[in-house]
Amino acid sequence: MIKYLPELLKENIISQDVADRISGYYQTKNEQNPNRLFIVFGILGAFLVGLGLILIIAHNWDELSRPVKSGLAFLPLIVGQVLCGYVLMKKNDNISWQEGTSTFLFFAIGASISLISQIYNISGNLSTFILTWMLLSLPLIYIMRSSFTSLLFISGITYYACNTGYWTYPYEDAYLYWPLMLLIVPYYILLTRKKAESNFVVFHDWIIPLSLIISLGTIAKNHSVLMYIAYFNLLGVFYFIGDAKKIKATSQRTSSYYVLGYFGTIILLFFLSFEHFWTNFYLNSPPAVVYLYSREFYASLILFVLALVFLVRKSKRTGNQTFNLMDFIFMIIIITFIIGYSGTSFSFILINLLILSTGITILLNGAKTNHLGLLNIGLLIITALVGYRFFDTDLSFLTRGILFIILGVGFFYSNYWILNKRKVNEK
Amino acid sequence: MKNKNLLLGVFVLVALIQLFVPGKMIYDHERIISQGREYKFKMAAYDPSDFIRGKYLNINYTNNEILISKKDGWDNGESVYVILNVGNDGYAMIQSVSRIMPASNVSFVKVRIRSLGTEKMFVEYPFNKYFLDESKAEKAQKMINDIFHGKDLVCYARVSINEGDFVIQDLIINGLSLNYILKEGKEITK
Repeated sequence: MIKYLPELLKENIISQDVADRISGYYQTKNEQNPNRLFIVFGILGAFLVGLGLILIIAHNWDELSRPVKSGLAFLPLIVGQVLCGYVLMKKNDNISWQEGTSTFLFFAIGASISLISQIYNISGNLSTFILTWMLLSLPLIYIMRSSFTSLLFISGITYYACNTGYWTYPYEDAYLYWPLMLLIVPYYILLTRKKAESNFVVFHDWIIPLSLIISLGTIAKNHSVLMYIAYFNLLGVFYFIGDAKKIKATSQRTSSYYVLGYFGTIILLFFLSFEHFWTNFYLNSPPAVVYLYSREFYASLILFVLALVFLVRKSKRTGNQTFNLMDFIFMIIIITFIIGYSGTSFSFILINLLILSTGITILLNGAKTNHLGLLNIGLLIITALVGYRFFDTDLSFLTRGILFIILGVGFFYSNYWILNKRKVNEK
Repeated sequence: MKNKNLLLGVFVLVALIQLFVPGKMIYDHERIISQGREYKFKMAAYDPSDFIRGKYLNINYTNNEILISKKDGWDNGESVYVILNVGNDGYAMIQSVSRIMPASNVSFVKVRIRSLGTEKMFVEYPFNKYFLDESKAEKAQKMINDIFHGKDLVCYARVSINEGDFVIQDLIINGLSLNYILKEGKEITK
């Protein structure tokens, strides 16, 4: 904008006063917004130096004596602490410095604990090591107000949950993941309130729900089938959060919660759309009371209550104006599981009907709003449903062939129809 | 300004805790060696790499079993305490197993139940990593593989144990320290 000012002045389109005000506006705006590139390079630099440090340490230097090695183990930690202390005192409002030094200290903490473990041969398992590292790094997020350290922390506790809950045999609990995740919530809320337009909010919006999706499964022990209910409820909660955010959103960003909640639910529905899933569920289920005392049941119950609260809030907000099937899927799933437990094949049919109606709803929405993406997603869901059902049923090749031809024509025709409609509108 | 000072005070406290944790690790190491009792654990080893903490030998031990009665209702993966003793061959052996932490006057470690037979329990000792210089890990692995595939050599870990805490002091192959063998490039012979 500023570079066009001389030309506009010369042509007498704007006055000198207006030109001064415009250039003044951009100058103050630039001062308020720190150079994003500088933040990125600050973090990237600290990130690479930190990682490099860990790799150098992993070499395990035999040539050095134990006291020298111990001294070296503390060196990066002390350097990181001094740098952070300096930033706190002198550069407290400089985001690039805050993020860069915190990232460096984050890695220095990990490096020094692992170096001491090596030098003194302190075995310990990987989960305990990561847990100690994350606990020591957590205060940095709040003291240094470092969003990148927060992202690293969330990745770290997710890795801890996976390593403990999925990759350790025999099974071990990763319960500590949950309070640790709760400890990051105040920072997340502060970040979304104070810096709503920051890219760090977008990163947090994706990494937090993804981390929860990945880690929820670590709760499963003896009755993992119940985790389907827990997952539907969790995705339901995400869907409601995303839905509320969509209305409030000031920018055009797609809400990660909405995308994950909506499409996660549909993908999960496909898992349950196979008849053999329900046959196995019926045949392998213990007495109901065993389920009621399982940890999977409690996880599902807590998430169900949470989803219900969000549903009530949504209906209060919108006043039940429009019926949206997606709002109720987390409840319908529980009914299908209760029906499935009694051994009827109705659950199998119900799930397939749910997928079909979701597909059709998306398709119609796409057609109504002239949105090619939505239209094709709707069609894709229906096609996938038909494709999967071929595995279950004994339809002849002729019928299958005809069904696919109909779907193919449907794809072609609906896209053609929308494009045509757009052309007419443009004219 | 007051806020800034408070923040700085909290940061100093956090920094001290960050320094305390690795410091405590060193202190515990020295305490276990000076106050603990040393045991010899017969071993078998292989070489994976820990991507953060560098190369190490992951050690399996042979005297990791104890007779149990079925009635006790043990679970796979459960954490239990094993009370240690020295067998007739001079190596550590499990004397008994308990869910309750034993008194401090006996040597014990907290272990995880690895598998359960009809009358036997196999446990996983927690001192299962021995860190090595990157350039030597591969050589050490090859050497130890040779030992367990043919060459009948005595191979054990010197482990100090004190009130449930432990430190691997050294790995001994045929009377020589593994570090010494690797450093001097010695060939292992029977």
